[in-house]
Amino acid sequence: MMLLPPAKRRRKSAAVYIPDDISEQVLLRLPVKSILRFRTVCKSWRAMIAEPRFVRLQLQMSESRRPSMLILLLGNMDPHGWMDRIRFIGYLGYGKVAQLVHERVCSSGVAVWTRPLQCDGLILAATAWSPSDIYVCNPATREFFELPAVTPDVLDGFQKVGFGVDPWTVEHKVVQCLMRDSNKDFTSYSNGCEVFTLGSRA
Amino acid sequence: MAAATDDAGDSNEMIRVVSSDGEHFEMPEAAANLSLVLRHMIEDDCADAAGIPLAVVAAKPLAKIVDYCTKHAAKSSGLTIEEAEELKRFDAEFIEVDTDMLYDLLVAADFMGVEGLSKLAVQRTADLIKGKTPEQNRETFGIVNDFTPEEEEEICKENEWAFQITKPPSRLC
Repeated sequence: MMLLPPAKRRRKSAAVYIPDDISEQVLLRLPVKSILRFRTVCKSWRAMIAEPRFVRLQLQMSESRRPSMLILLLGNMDPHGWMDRIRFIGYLGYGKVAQLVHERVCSSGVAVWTRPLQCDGLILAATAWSPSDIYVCNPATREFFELPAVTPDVLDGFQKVGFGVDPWTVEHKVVQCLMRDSNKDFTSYSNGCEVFTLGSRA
Repeated sequence: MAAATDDAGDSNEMIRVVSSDGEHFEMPEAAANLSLVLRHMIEDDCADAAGIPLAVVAAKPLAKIVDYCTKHAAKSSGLTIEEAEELKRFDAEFIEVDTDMLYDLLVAADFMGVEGLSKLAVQRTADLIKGKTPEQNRETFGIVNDFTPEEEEEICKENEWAFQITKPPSRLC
C-alpha cells in the first residue's frame, strides 16, 4: 500500500511523500463522514479503511470523544405519523441545536420497543413482543440491518435479547433466550438460545 | 560524551544536529531528548561536536522542529495552568503553516519520533482535509486516482450521504 513514490509526483507543491502509517493517523482523526467519502480517493486508502485494524483503531479513537448522537425509537404510543421508526439525532454540544440526521422506517410496524442495547457504538433495537424484529444499526455510518427472524418464545412472548462482543473472535453477537415449547402447566418445557453473529464490520 | 542522563532537564549540554542540506542547528539536550531518534543517538554516545546527521530532514522543517523541542523541553514538567495554556497557544501558532511545510513537518516529526509534534501535525492535516472532496484530497496528497469511474460510482452509492458536502465543492464525487 503506497501513495506515490516521490519520482512520480505530479505536482511540485505536494513535495512530500506521505508514508502509509502517517496517512492512517490522519484518517483516524477524521469524522466518519469524511472517512467514508475518502474511500474513493484511491485503492490503497480504500483498502486501509476496510482493514479490521483501522476499524479497531478508529473505534478506540472515537471512544475517547463525547457521544454526539441521540437515538429515538418511536412506536405506536408516540404521536401518530411518527410511528415505527428509528431517528438519529445529531447533537454537537451544549447550546447547539440538535438536528435530525437520519431516519429509518421499519417495514412491519412497531407497537413497543424493548430498551435499546449498545455495544461499541452499535445500537440494537428490538420490538418487545416475540417473535420480535431485531435491528442493529451503526449511527456513525448510518448502516442498518434487520436480523433474520427469531424463533417465537412460548412462555410470555416477551423478547429476551442480549448484545455483546465475543472476546475470542472479536465478533458482535446477538443472543436470544427463549422457551421453545412446553406443556400446558409448564411442568415440562424446553428452553433454548439462539445466537446471531454479525459480520466483523457490522 | 553525553552519557545518558535520567534528569534531562538539568543538563546544560547542547546537542548539534545537521540537516540533509548541511545546515547546523543546536538545542539543549533536554530538547533533543523529545525526539526518540536523537535520544537514542545521545544514549549511544553518537552526539559529538560534528553534530548528528539527519539525512532526510531539510533545514527548513528542522529549524521548526528545533524551535518546537526547545520550547516544549523548557516547559516539560510541573506546568501551571497558565503555562499549559501558553504552550497550547504556542502550538496553535506554531502549526499555522502552509501545506508544504505541514507535510514536511508530518514526515520529519514522524521520522525523528517527536510524538507531540507528530500529533499536532496529524491533527492539523485532518482538520484541513476533513471537509474536502476526494478529488481535492488527491491533489493535496499528490495521489493518482486508480479507480475506474464505475468503481468510484459504486463506492459513492454505498454511502451517498457522505458525499453531500455543505460547502460548495468543485466536484462532489
